[in-house]
Amino acid sequence: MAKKKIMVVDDEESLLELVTAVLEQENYEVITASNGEECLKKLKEVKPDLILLDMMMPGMSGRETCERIRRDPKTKDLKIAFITVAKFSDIGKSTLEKMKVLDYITKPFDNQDLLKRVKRMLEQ
Amino acid sequence: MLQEIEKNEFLLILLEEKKYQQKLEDIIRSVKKSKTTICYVCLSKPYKDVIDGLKDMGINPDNFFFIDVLTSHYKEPSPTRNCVFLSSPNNLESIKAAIIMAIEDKNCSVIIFDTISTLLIYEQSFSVVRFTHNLVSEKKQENVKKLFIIIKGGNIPSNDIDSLTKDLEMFADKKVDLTNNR
Repeated sequence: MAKKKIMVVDDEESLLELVTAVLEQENYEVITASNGEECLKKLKEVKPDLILLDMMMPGMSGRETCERIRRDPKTKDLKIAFITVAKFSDIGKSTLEKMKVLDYITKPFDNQDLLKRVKRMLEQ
Repeated sequence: MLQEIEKNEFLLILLEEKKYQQKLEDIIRSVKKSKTTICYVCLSKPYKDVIDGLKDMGINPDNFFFIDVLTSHYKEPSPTRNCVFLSSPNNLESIKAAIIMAIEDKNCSVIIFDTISTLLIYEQSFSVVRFTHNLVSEKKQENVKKLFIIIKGGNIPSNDIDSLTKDLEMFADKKVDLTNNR
């Protein structure tokens, strides 16, 4: 069976390394991008099964990256979750819903919890 | 406006540049009704101009504590009892520290940030969003009303203002758009 592909987008190198290690142990294929622009560029070549997107990044924010993914007919249906330190308000949560974001995982996260939530999103 | 301030802890207030002064006065008058000590962050006008404006409005500035981020940029400020002068708008950590000091030492229970969008002149949007998020996540500022003003139609490109607004909205309790309000 082909490995599930997960794209992780974060400007923190250490976070990318940690999430990659956790996901690869569970046999996922991980693609990384260090900002929104790189994410959009890579999406022209790969179609991940899930994108884990940081909210606060230099350049294009996670929110804007997500909106652009949703606007592009080729990527609009991709599964997206946020992985972030941000504590969203009710307006924020409703924006996430409108952007069809499946979940948001708060940093710092528990590795097992991350895997459980990733698995659940991939099965949706 | 007063109702919105009473109901919410972190408000983003959008103002049109042309009506900025008038609307700002309305906001200050609403906040003053609650008779609390107000921390006023001066980023669009220096402390002295804000004080003059309050006096013109007939508002006593005694219950205000000011954080002036502009004056030191062009002259040596004279020491003032109710104002702290910061050296640079680029030092977001010092702005945050001054706000926390105003809450803890001066008992300020309302913060008027005039204006958060002006920070885009000095900093990337990402840094402004992170600064705001760090501030509103700080335990010491819980139960403090935060009124962050965004000006539309000024020198900063509208795309940048819109993007900042959308990103800040993600953790704001309410966005009050007064740009189409007469």
